Amino acid sequence: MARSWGAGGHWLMLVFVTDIPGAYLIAHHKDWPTILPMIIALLPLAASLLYVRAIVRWIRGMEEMHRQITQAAWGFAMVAYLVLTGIWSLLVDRAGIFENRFHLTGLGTLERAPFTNVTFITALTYVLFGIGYTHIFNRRFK
Amino acid sequence: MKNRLRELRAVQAWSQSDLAEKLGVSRQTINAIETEKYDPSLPLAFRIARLFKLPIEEIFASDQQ
Repeated sequence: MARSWGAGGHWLMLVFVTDIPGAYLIAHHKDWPTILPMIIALLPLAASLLYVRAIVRWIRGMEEMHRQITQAAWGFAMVAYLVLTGIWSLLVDRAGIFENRFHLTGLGTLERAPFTNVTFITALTYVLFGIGYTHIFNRRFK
Repeated sequence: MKNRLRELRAVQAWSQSDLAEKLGVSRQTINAIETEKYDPSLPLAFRIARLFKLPIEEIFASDQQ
């Protein structure tokens, strides 16, 4: 996991520093010309795509066993993320649970739908990848 | 899949790290192959065979054999 930070950590950092501060800026500067909020809103997504590209390059350069474990761990992270998204969506949108319970950022829609927040998505997937990698490596190969 | 990697490595008096370096893989990969937790890819199996100057079937054997 530490090595994956070395592979594309600067892009991940860019996601973190542009996402929520960007949303805050957009929410508090409604008078800005359209192009500016567009750039600010899409910047974290662009950074996360560059992060994915860095990770893919890092995986390609790996030796075979670690490549296999890493691919399995990313697979696990993606599936686990989709499952969590599904659970969240069912609980919030269908069952109405958690609505009006989260008031962490004061950003309205960001609180109601953390899975639309790029920082949350990237950080969660990264953590799930770490859990998957550690588990697969320890269980199968150690 | 069974293999004689540990035995062949011992004959050459190489450590797992030495062998890993010669094959361009990690020490964990060598350990996982020796403990039969990981089956190497065909290219890696060929590299191992070339390194020990043996045919692949003298190093690796399927569990059924």
